[in-house]
Amino acid sequence: MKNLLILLAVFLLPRSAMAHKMRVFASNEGDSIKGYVYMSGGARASAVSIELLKDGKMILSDKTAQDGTFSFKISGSGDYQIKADSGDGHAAESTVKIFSSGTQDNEISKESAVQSLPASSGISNDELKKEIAAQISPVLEKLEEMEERTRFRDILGGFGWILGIAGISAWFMSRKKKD
Amino acid sequence: MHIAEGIVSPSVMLAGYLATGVATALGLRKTSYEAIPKLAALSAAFFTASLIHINIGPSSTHLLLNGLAGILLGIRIFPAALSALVLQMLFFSFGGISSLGVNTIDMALPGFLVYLAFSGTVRKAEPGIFLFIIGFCCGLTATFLSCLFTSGALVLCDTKYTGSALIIFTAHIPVMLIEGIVTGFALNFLKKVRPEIFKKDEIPS
Repeated sequence: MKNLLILLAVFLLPRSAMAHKMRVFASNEGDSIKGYVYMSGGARASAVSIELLKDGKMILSDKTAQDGTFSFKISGSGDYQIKADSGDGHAAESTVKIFSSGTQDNEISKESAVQSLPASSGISNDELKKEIAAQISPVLEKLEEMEERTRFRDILGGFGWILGIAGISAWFMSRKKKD
Repeated sequence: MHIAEGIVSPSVMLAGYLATGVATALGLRKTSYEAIPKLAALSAAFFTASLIHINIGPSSTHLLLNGLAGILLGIRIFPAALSALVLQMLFFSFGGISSLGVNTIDMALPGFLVYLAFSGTVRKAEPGIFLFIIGFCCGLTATFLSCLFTSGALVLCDTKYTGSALIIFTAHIPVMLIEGIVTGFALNFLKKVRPEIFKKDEIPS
């Protein structure tokens, strides 16, 4: 029996594995929320139904392009949700928070002080935001990828639980047998 | 093909849980002391099989191994599959608590049906081409039935899934072939080195 277990373990231990899930990556770029839907493992998911929700209510819906990307134009700040549904049992969602700039009265004077600084260095506020978004985007992607990666220790953890439960059950059963 | 969280409708979820509960209880009752290592080994195999990706075209699928497990475990496939799915849910967030019952059924029930149909033949067969072919049929049938039950469950949840139900089948054709081959080889190998695991386990009194 031990040989069987070892054989199975060797046979099935994958070298690098990603979680079998559909994931959606979305970020704010300028006046739209853009992103893509993918299966972790890397493959992009095309023609997947995708919805944009604001504060729980659906406002736009679309299908992802051939390369899995989507783009929704947005207006106003708030909590936006992206929901993807491939129809064959996979679904994913993501949240993007959009912060407004200077809508609160007591912030406006501080805002204008900040705004004057970039103008003097030759970059407009909008361009700065776009640049920051572009820089952060790959970091967010990497973060998502890391979150989803199946780690070797997770596999060992699963095995450990199975062996533990099997061992305890066997112990119980052997005691019953002795009686 | 784990159904993700949030897709399953309440009635389907309930049916899934009831069926899984009954089947698992029956399976556990029939698990003797000697059968535990086999159950644990196959549960571990289920657990890791989903990590073996088969990326053909746009969709991503994974191995199931429910044909092999069905032949070796019989009705005990239900507790084995349930344990593996619970652990996958906890460790990798595959599927979710709402779809756990349905996922167990659409993974384990095909294995059990394959057991009912083929186990007698497998038990009597000698290692060789014939056993390979039987194993191939087991693997293929189990995967096909899994696709059937999954798409059936999805359609029951919401008829908008009917169109994509066909996608599940076409996406899993390579899986069906690979499962068939793996099951064929595995049965042959096991018959040669450990023929006693095919013997009917004694049911605990």
